[in-house]
Amino acid sequence: MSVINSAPSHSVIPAKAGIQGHIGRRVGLWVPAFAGMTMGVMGALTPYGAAAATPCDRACLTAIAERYMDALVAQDWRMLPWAKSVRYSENSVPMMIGDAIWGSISGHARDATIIADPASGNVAWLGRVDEHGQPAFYAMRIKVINGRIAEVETVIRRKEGRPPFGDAAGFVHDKRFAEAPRAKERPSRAVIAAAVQNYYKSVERNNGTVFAKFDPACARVENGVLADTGRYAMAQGCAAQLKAGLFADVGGVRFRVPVIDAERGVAVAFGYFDYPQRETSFNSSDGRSFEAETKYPYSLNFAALFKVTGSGAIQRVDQVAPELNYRIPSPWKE
Amino acid sequence: MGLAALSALPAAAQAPGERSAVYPLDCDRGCLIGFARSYMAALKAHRPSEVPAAKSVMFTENNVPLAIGDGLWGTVSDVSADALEVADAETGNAAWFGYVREHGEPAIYAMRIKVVDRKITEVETVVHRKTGLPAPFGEVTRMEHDHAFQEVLPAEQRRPRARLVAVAQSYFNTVEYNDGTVFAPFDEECARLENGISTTAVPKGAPTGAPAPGSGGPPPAAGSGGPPPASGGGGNASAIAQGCEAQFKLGLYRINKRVRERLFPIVDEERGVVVASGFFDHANYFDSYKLTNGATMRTAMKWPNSISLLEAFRIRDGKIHRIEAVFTYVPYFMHNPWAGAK
Repeated sequence: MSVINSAPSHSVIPAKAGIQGHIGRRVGLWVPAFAGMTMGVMGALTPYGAAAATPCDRACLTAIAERYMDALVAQDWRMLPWAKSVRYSENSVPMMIGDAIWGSISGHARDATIIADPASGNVAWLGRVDEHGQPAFYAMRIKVINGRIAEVETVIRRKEGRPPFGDAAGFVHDKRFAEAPRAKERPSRAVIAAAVQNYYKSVERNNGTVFAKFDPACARVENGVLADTGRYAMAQGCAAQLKAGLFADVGGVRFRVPVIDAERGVAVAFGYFDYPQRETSFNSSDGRSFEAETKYPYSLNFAALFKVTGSGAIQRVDQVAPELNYRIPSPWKE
Repeated sequence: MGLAALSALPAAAQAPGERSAVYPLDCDRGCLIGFARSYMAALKAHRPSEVPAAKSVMFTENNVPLAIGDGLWGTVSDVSADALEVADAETGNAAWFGYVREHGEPAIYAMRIKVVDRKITEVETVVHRKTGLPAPFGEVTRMEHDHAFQEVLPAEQRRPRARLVAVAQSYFNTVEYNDGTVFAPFDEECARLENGISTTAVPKGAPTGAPAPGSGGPPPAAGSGGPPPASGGGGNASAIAQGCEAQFKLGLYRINKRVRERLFPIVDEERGVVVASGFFDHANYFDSYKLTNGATMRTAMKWPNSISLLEAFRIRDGKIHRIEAVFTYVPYFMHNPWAGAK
């Protein structure tokens, strides 16, 4: 499993520094102080995703995300405060701001979920967009440095293609993503990050071993569809589906966790599930057989919202996930 | 390093990008096609170790670099017996157009290899699967590769390498921003096969003829891809206009914002063949457009997408006579690792 960490302190790592690597391993461009540390130790010493040079608080980040979406619908990128050097990607392809969805968008939802992370300067906006009136599931991350937008990462799932694709026009996120638990019931950044890491560790080559903790009522939603049909009807709930080994076809998981909102116990992970599809059917851990969804290799590019309790149990996973070329590289690692 | 040191390097005495000032020509057309067949045989047998590859070989599948043995290598169950095979001894490249099966399911397939010192150093593949996105997908058991690609032209109908590439470029220039302007010279008999479907001949049982002005455009013929298969849509343009030139004069392919990262790795002057790679960018900033006859067409998809392609042209007497293309959807503006830095 490849883990692409969120960048440590911007004050020591340039904005363009490479951020790929395994948590707890020495990574090429990390400062030596982080080398060899476990995630827990690292989390204790330095918040997971440390402070930007000039703080932009929750309200500031939220306002920038909203302004970005309004500028996008207006198809006028000049409305926004840009950093001197900006990185932009859409479904894993780097390109110029103003191209792609900047030319096809016709509207966006007003009831989006916005997750702000003042500690890292990142903010995510997840909701619905319309392109020439056709709704699509949309997730976007912005990194703000000194009050200016330095990075924009977007993941968009449109209607065409294989399921799942739910009612994008009527979709709303679980309201718990916006709720802030009482201070003593909040998980730390390190606990949230560990929950996400353990989730993907459980998914990759899933054989029934579950490394993550789950709330008994945990549910998973993909492109607006609750994962309880098809193969997922074989076991209900996040933990049960992993225990049943229903993700056995996921050959690899590559991910980063660039946005963590500790006040709300929410993280936004970006990454890929790689499906090599060398087999056409798989066995659940209790011996039942289920079919591979395709006979060809592919990757799912995802932006996933996680809600985590104070004890580190995952309550909800909600992802936007378009199908892309098998093992398409991430432009957010170097 | 100073200028003096630079000038001492033997490499500096070569033309840019060339290994030697003399083309080795140590692997002729038959030899190169033999390497292509060896590759396909190893693929069919699931034996990547049997590919006569150089240590530094680079392999891509739909523009993603992979290790030979990954991707299609893990799913392939068969390889078509019949294929369009072309080669260029000067550049050491060969191409193979046909189909494969993955766990029994057909996929339209094209690949290009480069051979250096009798080893394969490059493998570029385009694999078009049934993903649910609207695009032409022919019945592979009926796929026929036009024999004209194999015919040696009489001397007076041949053109030099640079002109053949210029003609292929003019085709892409015509596709790009297709508003009815035709830059390419087309043979009157020009025919095109895309993903195993003729998109220039009258489809069996299909209504034909250009839509009347104000008709709102014809419904897509295949899936919801709209009219322009030549640019990656799903409908068959031949239901609207037949022949290569007529479709472009009508402006059917208006959705192509760009034809990008064009490469021409194979030219066979004797046969008038050029093989190109590139992307058609469907920006879809608009969702309807006018044909030159005044009819309105609707785009099939409302969002930006690109198609990645390998396309073979047969040029007779300076005019495009045959086209065979394999293309597949990729994320909008995806980069081709073979195209180098922008």
